[in-house]
Amino acid sequence: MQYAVYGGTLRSELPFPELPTTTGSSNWLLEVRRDAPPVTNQAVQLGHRRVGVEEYTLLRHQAGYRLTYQHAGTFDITPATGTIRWHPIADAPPELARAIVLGPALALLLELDGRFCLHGSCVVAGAEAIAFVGPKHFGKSTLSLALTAAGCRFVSDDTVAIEPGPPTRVHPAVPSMRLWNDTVENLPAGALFGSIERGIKVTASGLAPGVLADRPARLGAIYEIVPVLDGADRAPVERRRLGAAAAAVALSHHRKLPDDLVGLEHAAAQLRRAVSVAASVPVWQLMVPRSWARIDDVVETLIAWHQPVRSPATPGQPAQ
Amino acid sequence: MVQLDSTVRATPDHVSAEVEGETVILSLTTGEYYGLNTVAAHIWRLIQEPRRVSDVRDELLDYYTDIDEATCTSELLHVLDDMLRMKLVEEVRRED
Repeated sequence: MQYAVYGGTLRSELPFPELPTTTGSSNWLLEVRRDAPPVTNQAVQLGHRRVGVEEYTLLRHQAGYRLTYQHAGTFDITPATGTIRWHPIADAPPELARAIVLGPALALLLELDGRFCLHGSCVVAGAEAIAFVGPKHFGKSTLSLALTAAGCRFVSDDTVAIEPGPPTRVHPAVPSMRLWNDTVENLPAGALFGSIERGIKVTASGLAPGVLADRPARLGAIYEIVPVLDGADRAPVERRRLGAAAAAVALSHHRKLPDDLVGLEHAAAQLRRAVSVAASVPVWQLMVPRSWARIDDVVETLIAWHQPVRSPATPGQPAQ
Repeated sequence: MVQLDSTVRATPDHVSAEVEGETVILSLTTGEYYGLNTVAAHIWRLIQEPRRVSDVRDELLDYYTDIDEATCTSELLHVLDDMLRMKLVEEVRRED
């Protein structure tokens, strides 16, 4: 099957029920191999990470990269052909493999091909896309879901793949979200997604037709979320624009592929893309109260900030 | 502490990029990112090769005509001390 994702096409023998199918030539190929991964020559370990019970490692070798996940297996990534070969361990959960392919594996291929990938969430509000970045639990997905429920088009959750441009654009990614239980209880996820699976986090997939952005969108703003305490005298949401250098540093800190996984050589290459994005897209700190009572006001303000600006009408001419 | 007669230079293990007159630096030693405002970025450009601090100060005074010598010296030493602490610059012992 072939699937549309990040503005390209993934051909895969592993089914991806969370992705829309498509036709035409493919950019990336996922193969599932039952044999042991081949011995690599002159492999250099770029990074190693431990997140919860999961450990993963990235190596670079003569033919490409090797991403190894303790509970999924080995993913050999060949940038020259856009091929990902998955050598699963016994009983590797397919959903974990899909998350790795749609997350770090494709993010690496995208970055090697010139994109800049953020760990964040993104919607189209008005005529432009807005992205949210921040650490876990800061409300990236919550804001995107709330904006989508208010009529914005959903672009992506978890990985935001930016084409530095010009123009700086984002492409529709994976039409599913992983949400915290309280988000699902307070926002109408069930009205937007056909499937709601509860676990430690809730996986919402099967986005209703017309809700997913169907084309690339110009990226109009990136918001770094800063949760603040709610107060009666506080505005529902405030923003402060970062200077260019601070913006580039913030974007570097919120890359999908962290420096301790990909290594500083790759990080150095991405710094120039962070600078390019920071020079073309306003980056703001977004001070948001952590209060469900304020979420409607927050959404209303964000949408108002990104409404297209109308030119004033001149006598005899309609406004454009 | 950096003194006016010290000689300093940017440490070699970094990658930097300019954006709108400011500079972003990734230290390849520590993995830390730093953002420099326009004045600090100007200083950074001047010390890519070993420079005596007093020479850097004189060049800044030529460029920023609205600052007096004492303030310029004080702020330059403060910025260089910060950069020294962040391992972005190093003092160079001159052989002469």
